Amino acid sequence: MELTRQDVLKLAELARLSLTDEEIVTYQADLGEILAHVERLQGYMTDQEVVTEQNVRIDATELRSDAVTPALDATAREQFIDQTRTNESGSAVVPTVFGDRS
Amino acid sequence: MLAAYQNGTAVAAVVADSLARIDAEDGELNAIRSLHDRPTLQAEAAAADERWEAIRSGQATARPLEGVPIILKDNINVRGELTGAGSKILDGYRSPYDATVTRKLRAAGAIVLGKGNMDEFAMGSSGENSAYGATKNPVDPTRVAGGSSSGPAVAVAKDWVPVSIGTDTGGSVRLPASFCGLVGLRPTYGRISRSGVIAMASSLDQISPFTHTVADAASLLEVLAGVDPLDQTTEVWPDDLTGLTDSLADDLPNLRIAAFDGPANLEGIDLRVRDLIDDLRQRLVGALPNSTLTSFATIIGAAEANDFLDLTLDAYYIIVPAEVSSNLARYDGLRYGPASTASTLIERYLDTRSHGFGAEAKRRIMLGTHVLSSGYYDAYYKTALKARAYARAKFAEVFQTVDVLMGPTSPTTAFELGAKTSDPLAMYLSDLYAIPSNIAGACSITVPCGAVDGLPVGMQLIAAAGNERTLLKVAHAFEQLTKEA
Repeated sequence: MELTRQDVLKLAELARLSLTDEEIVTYQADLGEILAHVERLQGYMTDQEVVTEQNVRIDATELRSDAVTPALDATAREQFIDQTRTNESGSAVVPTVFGDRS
Repeated sequence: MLAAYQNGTAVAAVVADSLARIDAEDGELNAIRSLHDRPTLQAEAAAADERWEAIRSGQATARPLEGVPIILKDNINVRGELTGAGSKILDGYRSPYDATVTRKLRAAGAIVLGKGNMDEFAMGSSGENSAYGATKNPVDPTRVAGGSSSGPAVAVAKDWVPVSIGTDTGGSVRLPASFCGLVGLRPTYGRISRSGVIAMASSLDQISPFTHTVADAASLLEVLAGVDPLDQTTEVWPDDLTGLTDSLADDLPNLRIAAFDGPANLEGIDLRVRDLIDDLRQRLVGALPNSTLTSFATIIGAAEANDFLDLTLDAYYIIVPAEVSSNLARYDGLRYGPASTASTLIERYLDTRSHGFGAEAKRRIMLGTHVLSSGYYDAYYKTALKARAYARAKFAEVFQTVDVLMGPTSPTTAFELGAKTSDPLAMYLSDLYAIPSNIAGACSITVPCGAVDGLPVGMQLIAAAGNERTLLKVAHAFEQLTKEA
């Protein structure tokens, strides 16, 4: 399938990527070529049933005990937070999420 | 190595030697991403030497990897150490926790020296997609080492370490192993915990060791396999692999082998590789009493076999980008990695991701976004799931009448640097033989079996999911046979 420039820009937006004009052209070609290749799969699979079962056999009857276990020990938590650029009182500080959505 | 330690060799000397070789030889090859700091490693080696003293005097028993230095692929977390997945977006990140495999390796006595270079987020077949430069093939440095676990492969090929750990999602250990002349084992999905291993395609990723011998691969599998509450996809198999390494030399009566070569007119295959594989396969059959050789095509039908490699490749390059687009969505620059000075949230995402990801990562993220999007989901992703179910059914059918599939690991030997970088599709086709066992759910191994023009060739063996014991026994028999050559 061929992708238009608009298609590529839409995908980039969804994927939170900003592309240069040159990149748009390159990816348009690359993605088009790959899609053209993989879409022949549709021809092979016309009679096949979809199987959406799990990849592995998960035994949901075996549950662990309902006890609190820490995900990270206190030192690990500190090490993790120390790596964040801006942090305050044990939390990472990030730009506002629900503010201006330009 | 364990025998040497038993005889009095010092771990400190071995570790110092590993580091010295890396210092001397890695400049050209670019296989090592980061090393732990020397004082820490020296302390670990000293502790291992104390333990060996106790072992030699009979006060302790040696663990399977007692004092063995090891390199991990750059996507495997070690607490307090750099983990980058070969990407700029994780530059400077130090993991606050150990991957389960890291814990298990250390519990077996291994000394982790550091991280091996890799294609960014494990996306690649050559090692050329690393944000930190390509890793070169030690046999011929104008050629690729294979990917995505390029660094760990080279570390073993150069004998800097005797074993290393990579990950194999669609050939990322088997391909570099075959290019560098090593054993590369890809266990059944669900055998080894993925907890603490940076995810690319969560339904396909699997930890896989590089070794020089099948026996070492078996030992590592015994160390690493097991159900882990931190990874819900690990599961109990009928064969829990107890005594695996000891059972390698057991007899293989009435072994049923099927050739797995793909279509006769397959484009891009090196016919000399094919001929070598064919010849060795015949010899194995000749050497094992009452063994039989048939072919994948004979069992499932010529037309179906003809299309099988194509359709599993297509399914893979739909499913993997789909899962990649989801797994890489977490890299937003808000916690760690290179600083973005953008002031709004969305601008920070765009800035971080656009500068932090390389071309192949962006390609697969967008491809994945497309095949999962409304209007295209059925045509692509759902179709790929159908193909996956079909592939599983075909393998199940085949493994009712054969024990192992055997064929080339790769269509060619190591190609030249830059040969496929401008053609993503050509690069993807390197994985043609490796992908089916991942998509169809099987275990697989590559064993070095000679060379063409001096470049290593690997024989791939595939067995049913959970049947690593048979897989490794046959691989061992094959290895012994080709050693005598």
